[in-house]
Order: sequence, then C-alpha cells, then structure tokens
Amino acid sequence: MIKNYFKIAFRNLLRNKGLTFINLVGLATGFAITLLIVQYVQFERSYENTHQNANRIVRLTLNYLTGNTVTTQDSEMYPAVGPKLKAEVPAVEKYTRVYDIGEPNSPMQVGEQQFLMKNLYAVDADFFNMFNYELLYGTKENLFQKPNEAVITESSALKYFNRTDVVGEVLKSPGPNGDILYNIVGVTHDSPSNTHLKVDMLISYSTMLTDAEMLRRHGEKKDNWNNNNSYMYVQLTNGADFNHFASSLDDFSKRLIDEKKIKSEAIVGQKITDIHLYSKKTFEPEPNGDANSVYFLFAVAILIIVSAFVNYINLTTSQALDRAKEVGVKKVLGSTKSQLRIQFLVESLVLNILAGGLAIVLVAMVKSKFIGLSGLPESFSLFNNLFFWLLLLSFIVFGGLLSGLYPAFVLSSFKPSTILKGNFSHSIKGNLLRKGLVVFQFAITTILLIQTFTVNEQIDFLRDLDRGVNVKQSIVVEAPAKNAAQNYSAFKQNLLANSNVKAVALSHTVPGQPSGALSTTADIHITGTTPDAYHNFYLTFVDKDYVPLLGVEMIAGSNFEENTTPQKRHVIVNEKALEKWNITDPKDAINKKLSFWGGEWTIKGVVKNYHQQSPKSPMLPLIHIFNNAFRSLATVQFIGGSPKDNLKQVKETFNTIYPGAPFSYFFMDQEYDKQFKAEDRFKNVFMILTAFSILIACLGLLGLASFSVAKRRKEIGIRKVVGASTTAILVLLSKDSLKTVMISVIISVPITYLLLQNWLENFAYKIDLHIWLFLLPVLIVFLLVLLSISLKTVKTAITNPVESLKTE
Amino acid sequence: MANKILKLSQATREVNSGSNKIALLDSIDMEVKEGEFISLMGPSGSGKSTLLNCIGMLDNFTDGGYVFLGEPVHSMKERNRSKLYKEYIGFVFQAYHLIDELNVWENIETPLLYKNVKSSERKALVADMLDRFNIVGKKDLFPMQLSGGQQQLVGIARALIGNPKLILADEPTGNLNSKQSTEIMELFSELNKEGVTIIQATHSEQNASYGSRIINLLDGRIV
Repeated sequence: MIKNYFKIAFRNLLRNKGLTFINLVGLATGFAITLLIVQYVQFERSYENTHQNANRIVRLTLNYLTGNTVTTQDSEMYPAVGPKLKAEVPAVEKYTRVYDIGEPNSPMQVGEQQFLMKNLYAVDADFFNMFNYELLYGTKENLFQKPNEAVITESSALKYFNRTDVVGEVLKSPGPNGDILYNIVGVTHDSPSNTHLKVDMLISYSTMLTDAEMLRRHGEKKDNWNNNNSYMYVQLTNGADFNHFASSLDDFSKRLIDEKKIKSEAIVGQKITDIHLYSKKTFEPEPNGDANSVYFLFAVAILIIVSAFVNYINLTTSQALDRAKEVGVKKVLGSTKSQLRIQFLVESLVLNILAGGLAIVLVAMVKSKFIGLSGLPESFSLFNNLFFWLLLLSFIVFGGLLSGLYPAFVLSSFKPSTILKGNFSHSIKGNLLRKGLVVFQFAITTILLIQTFTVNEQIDFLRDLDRGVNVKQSIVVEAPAKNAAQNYSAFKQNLLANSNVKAVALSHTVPGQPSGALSTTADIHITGTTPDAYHNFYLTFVDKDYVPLLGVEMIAGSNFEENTTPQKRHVIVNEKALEKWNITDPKDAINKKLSFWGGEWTIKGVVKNYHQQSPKSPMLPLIHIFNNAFRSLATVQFIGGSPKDNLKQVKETFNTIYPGAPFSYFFMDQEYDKQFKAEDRFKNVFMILTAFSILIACLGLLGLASFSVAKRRKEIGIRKVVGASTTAILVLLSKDSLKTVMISVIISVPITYLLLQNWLENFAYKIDLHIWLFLLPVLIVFLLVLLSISLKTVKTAITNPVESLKTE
Repeated sequence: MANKILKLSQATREVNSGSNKIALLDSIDMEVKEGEFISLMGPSGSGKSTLLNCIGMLDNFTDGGYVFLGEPVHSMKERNRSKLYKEYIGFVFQAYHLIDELNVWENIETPLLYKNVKSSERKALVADMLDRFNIVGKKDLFPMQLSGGQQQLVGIARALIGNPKLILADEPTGNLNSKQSTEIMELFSELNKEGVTIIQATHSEQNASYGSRIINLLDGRIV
C-alpha cells in the first residue's frame, strides 16, 4: 500500500510537470532564502557568545552633554575611571583598559621585514580573566605584569614568523626615538568572527606608561582625566544586577563632576552583548550591525516561507477540478477518506523533500555570494551547522504536513455522486482566505519594491551630492616606519618632477576614512570667551598643500604661509566650527586665537564646509592644524593617466626613497566610496529579497488565477458564444486579480511611506519622497501581476468555447 | 423567393487522431434559405454538433466552402468571422449554459453588452423579451432557482435578444421532460413563423417533425 502511495505520488508529480515545476521552484526558493537569512540572523545574534562571562561584562562609554541633552556618545573612556570605579563600586569585580594602538596600522619589524599590524591593543592583565582568550603557548601566570609583554594570535604569528610557537621571540616597532620592543610571552587563538573587539596582538598596559617611544607616540598619562582614548570594560560580580549598576554609574558620574574630574559628561554602561546590534557610538572598534535591519530581514524571511507554503496550498487546491474525478472513482472503488488523505499527504511530502534537495543546491550555489553580500565572515560555514539541517528537516516535515493537510481534507471530502455526475462545481468557500493570503503577499512585495526604489534613489543621491572636496585621481600612501619625515622632501620632489603629478600633500587622515581617524577634543574655545555649550571638535594635521589638493574653497583668510612651522600653531577651520563659536562673518574669525590642549592657536583661514565624512552624516566642525612632518599619510594627486600607471609611478618612487619599507596605499575615491558599503549591502540584500518575494507572490497569484479560471471555464465559454471578444474575456479575468492587488497597494503605500520617512531620518542629506517613487513600483507590480496571470488567462481566453461547453 | 442564408459546398472537418486523420464531417453540401426550420438527425457521433459548431463559426471547416449571407466564411479572418456571428447567429444549448452568477435579467442582457448597446436601449430590449416569454416575474432569480424548462426559456431569450437571423439549437430539449419539451418546440415553431431561421440538432422524431426539412447525418455524411 505504501509503495502504491509513492508510486501514484510520483506519477502525479510527473504528469503535471508545469504545476510541479512551479511548486518546486516556489518551495525551494522559499526554503533557501529562509535558511540563509535565519543563519545570518543567528550569527548576528551570537556576538560575544564565545566569552563565558559575556553577560557580566559591561563596556563603559562616555556621553557628552549640553545641559541635559546628549550631543555625542563616545565609546572610549578616560583610563583613570577603571581603578576609581573598582575602588568605589562594590559590584565591579574586575576591569580592563583596552587602548587602541593600531590607528589604523602600527609598523612592526621582524628581522629586516617590515609589516603593518592592524588590531593592536594595550590591555590590563585581567583582560584574560574576563574574555576567553586561552593561551596555546605560554602561561597566564604573572601575565602582563611587566611592560613590553605581548600575546599574539596564531595567524599573526604565522604571518610574521611562519610558525605558531613563537614565545620568546621579539617584535620591534621602529621609531625615531628608538624602537619599541615587544617580548612575546604567549600565543592565543584568533578572535572569533562574532566579537565586536577583534585582536591581532595584545600588549601589557604598563607599556603605555613606561616605554619612551610609546610615550612619545601616544603620551598616555597615569591618572588621565583629559583624553578618553581607551576602551574600558568592567566585569560585575556574580549575581550583580545591571540596572542597579547603571544607577550607581549615574551617582559615580555626579561625584566625578563634583570632584572636577569631568564636566558636562556622563559615564554610561553598556552590556557587551548589546554592542554589536545596538551600539552606534563614535570610535567603535569596528562598524556594528543594526538590530532593526536584522529583525526586519528575519520577519521578511518568515513571510517568504509562509508565502511559499500558502502558494503550495493554493496551487494544489486549484487543481481540485482535475483531481476530483480520481477522488470520485477511488471512493466508488472503496477507498476511505483517510486513505485518500494519506495519498495527498504523501504527495505533499514527496514534493517537499524534492524542494528541500533543490534548496540545498540553491544554497550551495549562492552561498559565497550571500556571505559577501551580508557581510558574514568568509569562514562562515552553513553546511557544518547542525541547526541548518534541523531547520531544513523541519521545513520539509512540518511544511509538508501542514501544507498537505488542507488540500488533503478539501480534496478527500468531494462527494463521488456529485463528481461523477459531471456537473461538479467549486464552492466559493475558502476563496476569501486565499484572496486574503494573496493580498498579504502582495502588500509585502509592494512594500519591498517601493523601498528598493527609494533606497536606490537615496544612495545615488548621496553619491552624486556635491561633496565640496575632490577625491579623484589621488593615491594615498602610508608613512613608513623609518625616516619617513627625513626623506619626505626627496620623496615629494621626486614625484613632482613628473609632469602628470599635480600635487603632493601631507595629512593625518583623508576624507572618507572613519571619523575615528580624526582626533576629537571637546573644550575648544576662542580665547577670552566661555563656551555656551560643550561641543565636540574634530582635528586633523595637514600641511600647506592639503587644502589646495582637495580643492576645498577658502572663504576667508588664506592658506598656510610658505614658511609656516608647527611651532607657530596655525590652524584652518571650517564654517561649521565657526557656528559653534557663534561667529557669523568668517572674516571676523581670521587671526582670532583658539585655546585648547594647553596652548593658543591662530586661525589663518576659513574653508567652506566639505564632506570629510560620508554625506549621510552631518558636516563636522573641523580644525586643520599645520604640521609638515610625514607621520601618517601622503596624498599624490595626478592629472590624468591610468590608475595602474600612476600607482606604479608612486610605488617606484616610494621604493627608491624608502627601501625595504612596506608600500601601503589606497585610492582616495575608493576609500571614500567604502562609506557607502553598509547602504550598498542593505540595498543588495533588499533587492534580492524583493526579487524572491515578487517571484513567490506571482506564483501565488498564478495559482489563484488558475483556480478562478478553472472555475469560470464554462462561464467564459458562454460569454464567448454570446459574443465576447478575447480582449473582453482577458479584462474580465484580470479584473479580479487586479482588484486583489489594488487592495494590497492601498494597504502598503502608507505603511511604506512611514517606514521610508523613518529610514531617511538616518541621513543628514536626503531625497524628497516623490510620488513617482511610489507610482513606478506600483506600476511594475501591476505589470508583473498581469504578466504572471496571463500564463493562465490568455490560454483560457483563446480556448474555443466548443471545448468548454461540451456536455458529453 | 426567400434569400439564401448559407451555403456549404464540399465542407469537410477533419481532426488528427494520432497519425490518422478522421473526418468528422465529410463533403457536406447544404443550402439554408431564410425562414427554414431544419432538423439535423442522426445517432450519437454522426457529426450533428460538429456541423452546428462549424455553421455557428465556433469551429471551422478544414476544407470546402462556406458562404454565409453572401460572405465567404472559409477565407475570412477570425475577427470578421466573430463579428459576423455576433451579429446574425444565436445559440441554444442542451445544458442551457446560463451563467450561474448572473440572474435572469443579466443573463439575457449579456450579448448586448458585447455588442456595445447603450444602457437605456438594453433595458428596453430585455424588458421586451421578458414580456414576450412571460418571465417578467422571474427576472431577479438565478438559474439555480429555475426549472429546466424555464432555464431553457431564458437560454432562448438570450439567443434572440440580439435579433439574429439564424438560431442554432443543439438538442434544445435533451434535458427536459416531455411537457417542457413540447412547450419549447412550440416556441421554436412560433419563432420560425415570425421569420427566424432555425437549425436544430435532435434525436427525437417528434421534435424533428416541427421542422420544415430534415437532414440525416451518418458518420459525417448526409444520407
């Protein structure tokens, strides 16, 4: 009997090839996309789960206040907070400072080989007791009690030494005042991909305070209440309540203000498990995810899989007319209802199993593409994950049963007497349910499609926006570790000797790099005035060629003079900075003195605001401080020439002037474009989801159309006989579907409008929501609807009525 | 001398069944004059329905000539053909084929909709027809609520509403009891007297006797 079930199931699937194909494609794409997105969501939610104490670890962050409003949320903290907090708040068990040394890269030397190291942090010994970094080599005993100790990750060890057991080796960071020596005392595994704080090497915190070259570079002080350049993590005692701790932090902040340690600031705790999805502070160690997008994707994935099952139900029941005779005959021959139900369930299961197989193929095909798009780590494994297989299995089993049950009950309940008499017609029961489901599907589809249009439009708008700065045809070179400043003029002259090099300029950072590459200082005011509020200013060091190279417009004063020296303390500020000091006429600012960093600086010029950061964020108040030493970046701007040739030219010059040094470079426009990565990713994922949602919704509508067309076969025949043209029939058949979709559109447009308004709030510069941004996608939806139902309606409309009106 | 409505010459209808060609209609020669009432007779499968469908232009002859009201149907484009039958031909079916979702009034009105007749004119025409068939009281009922004879009455009313020159009726009384049958045939006979040309397919000798001429079909040929 069971064999018989399967045999009939397979034959039925084979016989209705078109239907089977539509069902398979719908289910398999539904499975595949849901599997992928669920994996992605699971990964995004898994952050920090490799750290056993994660739910007790809190990151301390700094809020800048103006009155009671928070103007900036900074993820970095004054290093002096840690010891004081531990002494005063009993809930704090341990703390560690985490000082970011690689900004963005730190020069390293092994033998004669030079490298740039990325994620290099100075941490306290308790770091290893809070975060799960086990030592593969070396011991945790007395770890990081002395300065200049280092723990390196496996893959960094392999990169520098070609082996992993490197305890006892020394890494050198060359500098003008002697080298920093790092004694490797331990090797740990690589950071997991699901942690917000990824490390390549850790060094003992005391190095910051004792090493001469380190002090020259970073100038960290022991009891530092002035510069918040360090992350700060505390571990709460077992059982301590986070909310209680948060309120004790409020009291702690107030005490600090009373003690004049801080002003207009508040220390805020943040669970590290919340950082990846919820934290959007300045100077994050890496760009974080976004909970809203993650959950939005998850919701869409659920809707897609539900849609896929709904389609299956719709398509199967729409075939009822064809299957009715089979049911009737079987019943007459003595089949019971339950036997018929099992038959339909087996069919549904077989189809779902096939769809599951197809889904695996689909997932394997798009896996690498998906990983790239969603920003998952490259090593991310889908198929080794037990959860993936369990989910697929549950789709097949539950999906197969649930979506098989409804058709099974509907089809098995046909009365043989009615069916076999021949004038069998469908009940309209359940039609409302089906229509409701289609309305829902198309509402989702329309929402997604409209959003895709707007997201595209907004990103294009940002890209095309006048940035007030020229980032084209410029190659940016990072300073080598040795003799960078000494040999710079030779480097520059050598480059400028080429006729196609327009300018060479120095700067600490260039437009498009993360704002973390800029320095920030809050307390900058015109000498002799008291600031009315506490603003954050962004500072960068540049030479006299920098402003002309970027083509930034000077609106008052002048560029730095030819013979300026850093000692003269000259600065160029932008309009935004003037706003903060309440200066309305830029000319008034020239030669005014600024007080900060314990000195006085003279404003030599005012430039027009330019987008130092992506146009999605507001203009920053910028202060360009004159400095003509090659410490960080040199930008070479070309007049024409291919990027490849230009790069070769710069590289050759660099290698001549700085032999042996690693040539590290980037194209300024590419770096600038990277800021759109998050939006691009959002856009891409959106477009894919939209495409799949459209596909599945259209399949569903096709199912509904074929159902209603089958039901109206006779009516259409009659109408044709009494004189209806093919066009009239097509209109008649399409009207229903279009009405259904119209309801979806009416529901979805206002929802989308609100969603988009909300999304656009994230941007400082945004497009208006034009009516055509809604009209065009709606039009596309209607066209797609007509196209997909035309597969059924056209055939029916041109069918000879003789066929449909036959009585014998 | 009455006008000729249609003329078939060597009209043939073949279908492919596997590799064989089967002639459903084989070299039919036939002329119908205005005002005739023709009964097509023959056993099941003799080609009565096919002949009616082909004459009604729902189906096409595969060979031979067909001239309808002086127009060569065999060489006509689909569009003109449908224009022609919409204008001049009305159908009556054994299974009535009313639209279940529409009431009596709407069913009768349907052909006028496809002829783009104005609303006020439609109302007048349908009201006339209801009046003529004595079914004014039933105009709001749906087909399911009517007896078979009443349904067929509506079917005939619908066929007549466009004022056709020719009525094609395929076993119009096949689903009816003898009393209803007689009523319908009386009606046909009356219509014929009023000048409507009728071709009916029937098994029944009695029904055939209402006609002015009987054509016997066997295996697709006139015998």
